[in-house]
Amino acid sequence: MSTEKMAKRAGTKKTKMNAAMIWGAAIVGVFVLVAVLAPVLAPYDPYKMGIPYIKPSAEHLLGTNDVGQDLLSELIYGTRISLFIGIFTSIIVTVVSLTLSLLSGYYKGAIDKAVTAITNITMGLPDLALTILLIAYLNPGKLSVIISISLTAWTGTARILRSRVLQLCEMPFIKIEQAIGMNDFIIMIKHIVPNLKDIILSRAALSVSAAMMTEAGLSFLGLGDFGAKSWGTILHYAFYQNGVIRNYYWWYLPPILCTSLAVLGFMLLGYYGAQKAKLVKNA
Amino acid sequence: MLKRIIKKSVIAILTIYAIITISFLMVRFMPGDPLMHLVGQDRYYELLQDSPAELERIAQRYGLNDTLWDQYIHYMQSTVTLDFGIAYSNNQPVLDNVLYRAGWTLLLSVPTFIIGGLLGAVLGTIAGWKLGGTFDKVLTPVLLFLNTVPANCIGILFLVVFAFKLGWFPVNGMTSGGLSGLSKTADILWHGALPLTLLILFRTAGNFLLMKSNVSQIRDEEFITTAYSKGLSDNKVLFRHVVKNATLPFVTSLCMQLGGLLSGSMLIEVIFGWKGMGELFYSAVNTRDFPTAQLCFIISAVCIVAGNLLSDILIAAIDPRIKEGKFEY
Amino acid sequence: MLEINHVSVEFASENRVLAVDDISIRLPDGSRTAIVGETGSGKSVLLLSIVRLLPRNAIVRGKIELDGENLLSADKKRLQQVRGGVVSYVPQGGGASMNPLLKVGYQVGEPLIEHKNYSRSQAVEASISLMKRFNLLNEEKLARSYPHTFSGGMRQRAMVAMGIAAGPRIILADEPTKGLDDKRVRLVADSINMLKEETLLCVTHDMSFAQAVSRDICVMYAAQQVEFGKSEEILNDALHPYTRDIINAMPENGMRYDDVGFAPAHGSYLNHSDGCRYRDRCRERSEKCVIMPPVFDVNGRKVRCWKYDSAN
Repeated sequence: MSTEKMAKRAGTKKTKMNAAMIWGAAIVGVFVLVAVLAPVLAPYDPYKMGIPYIKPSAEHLLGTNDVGQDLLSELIYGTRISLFIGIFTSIIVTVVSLTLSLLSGYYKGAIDKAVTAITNITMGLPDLALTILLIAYLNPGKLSVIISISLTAWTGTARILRSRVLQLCEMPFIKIEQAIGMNDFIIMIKHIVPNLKDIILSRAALSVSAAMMTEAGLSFLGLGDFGAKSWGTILHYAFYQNGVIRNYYWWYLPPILCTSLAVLGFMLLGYYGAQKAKLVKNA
Repeated sequence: MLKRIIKKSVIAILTIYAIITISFLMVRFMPGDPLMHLVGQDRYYELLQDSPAELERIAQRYGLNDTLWDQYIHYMQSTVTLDFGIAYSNNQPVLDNVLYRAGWTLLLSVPTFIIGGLLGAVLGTIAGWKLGGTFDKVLTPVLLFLNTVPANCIGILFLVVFAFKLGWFPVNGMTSGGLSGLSKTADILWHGALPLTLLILFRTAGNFLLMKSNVSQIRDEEFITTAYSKGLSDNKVLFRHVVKNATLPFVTSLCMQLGGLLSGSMLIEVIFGWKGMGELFYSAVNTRDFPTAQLCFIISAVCIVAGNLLSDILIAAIDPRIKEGKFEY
Repeated sequence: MLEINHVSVEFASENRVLAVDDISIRLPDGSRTAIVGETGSGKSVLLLSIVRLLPRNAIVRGKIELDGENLLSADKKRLQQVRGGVVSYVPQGGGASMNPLLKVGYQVGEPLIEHKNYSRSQAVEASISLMKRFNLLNEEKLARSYPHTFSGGMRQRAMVAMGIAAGPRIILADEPTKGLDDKRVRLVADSINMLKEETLLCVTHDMSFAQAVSRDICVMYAAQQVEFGKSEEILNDALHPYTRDIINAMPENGMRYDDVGFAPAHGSYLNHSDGCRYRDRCRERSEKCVIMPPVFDVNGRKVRCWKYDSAN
């Protein structure tokens, strides 16, 4: 046994979350809870207008914005939008990249060449610019945002998954299944996908954080879904309606904190989860 | 190696071709009148009101009544001859507008590329080499955080603290005007200080994490044990056997950053009112000035493709396994 | 003279593992010893502990004395002088054992830069004659090539050339035949047998290779030394049941090894309360084997098995 393997065996860990992942899970858990319980938690209807620019007080814990909407309620409902876009995008990205990588890694040959070529070309596209251009053309709305982000976001995951599928297909247990004539689809679902679990989960968490980051940028620029108030949208109004210049901290600070914290939460889950899946070495 | 370069160049050209075609198709197939996409929303409605005849003439010029194929040929012709139309905002050729703005963006992005690249590489190497040491433990969470948090969030905090509260830097813009020579240079630097600092911080964070992961991976390779077995000191192992190997994947990433020189700083430009290409792209999209937005997109895309091509060529020049064509990434 | 004195190596991690369990071997100058054992028996770890190249989480106990100087308490500077200069560790020549971005000539000659103040070009020059000693053929061209162009056997012989470059007195060879076919195993054995002056300690899983290069053999099983003796004595008349099993499994003996429940010897080996570690696989086990046997002396040979308990 080589020493390296020896050391690895010595350091073999049971599937256990490390501290960073627990923090990540806790942060994400809180936000999900807030999103689900939004109608219960929010003290006001986030669209109801009132007296503008009220400082944080007992009535309005986080004050009001330029048209007198309660910022705490906006923030709580914003959690829904921001999380929804992040998670939904991540699901699309994961499904697309998993499908492509299974096709290309399992069947190899022409399909693999085609998928790799598409991946390479997509990687060459300027992602944020393309996303913004697409949103400009499409009608603004949640769906356009999700589609525009997904369109370029799948390449990284697809690449990693493909190389892993290629490795797995060389393993004896897959070869045996193939030799006894097992249905390809069943082999993929029953034998390959479970072995990709760790990578898929960690990449999915990273995708959520990346999508939320892009969404925050887009809606900050006023390119998101106007009807829906995500955290980015709150920040957009705070910035463009002079909330920042006049230093209405209760207006611009909470969305910044929420966005950063949520993105960090998913990032911790993904980054340190990837470490566990041996994608990146130590942090 | 030559074969590889030719192959990669062909792929790059195909990618650019795909990008141009995508933007052609986008204009034709997105919801709304393609004519609106071609002249921009404001101008479209203005013309619709004042002189529908003029609008018809423009439709004729772009051949919107022709078959899709003829339109495509025509579109490719004007793209190749760099004819991207006239901007509605100032009646200048769109290309001139975009190029002028590109210069201002480079003023931010070139120093970011150089300083952020160097800082990230050096700090990342130290942290990766002494993995788990104090340096690593202190720096990694900070830079991981910087790498994670959206640029506009930290951007606004910087703006509030350093421009509004402390008043050390201007709130907005690129110059105070009415200056010349050295004082003008100093003035631009003063205006650019905040966005530049932010961009460098972000870039350093990204490069740091990348370099750290490279170095810490190589540190555990078998050939490092071999190197130690010859009696080399830690520093000699680092400089002779680790740095070159770790730089190899780093070069790829640097080249991609080179490709993003024009498109990477949009949010920061918008927040600090830096009238660069990112800001132009943003306001073009906002005012539905499609010709300008599209050209910004094409130029950014071409840069990125060129950056990727450069990285392929450089890697082939450095890595003997690829140079001799025995190994593919 | 290198003396390994009651050495134990433990990996400190979430699950503690004892990789080497109280091993003692004396290597007088000019001796040739092979450590034979299967994957996971701790033999490579023992070798690495001598030159202190184990991962950071390894804890080494005992004494490793080089002419009376305990290497386990030597400082960094001294270790750098020893490694490659006095004691040379020759790694397994697998694909990752050489830096893929540096030319072989430089890598083979590097110990000379370190220990003999050679310049880069002198070192490359010297590497050519070093490789010539081991008949790599076309050495001038090889010195200018990168490692990926080498076959496994070539790489292994280049590694041996690298190991002896700066003229060390003691060579520690780690699995030099791993992954090589018979013909190349013989080439490597010839190369190692060319080292007449040096003290050799070679780790291998291959009994016939051990026979070809050594005068003494130490058999390791599950982190422990189970038998030690002259090579021909062990080959002709093995004492420990495990040694007999691996000798019977050698190709020239027709691989007569019907496995007695091949339970891989994995465990943490942290205590001796589980009795003899070969018990589950042993065909000569008795009730006594639930107690860990000590090492018995049988006419100057050492063996860890209750069968040789003189009290019987």
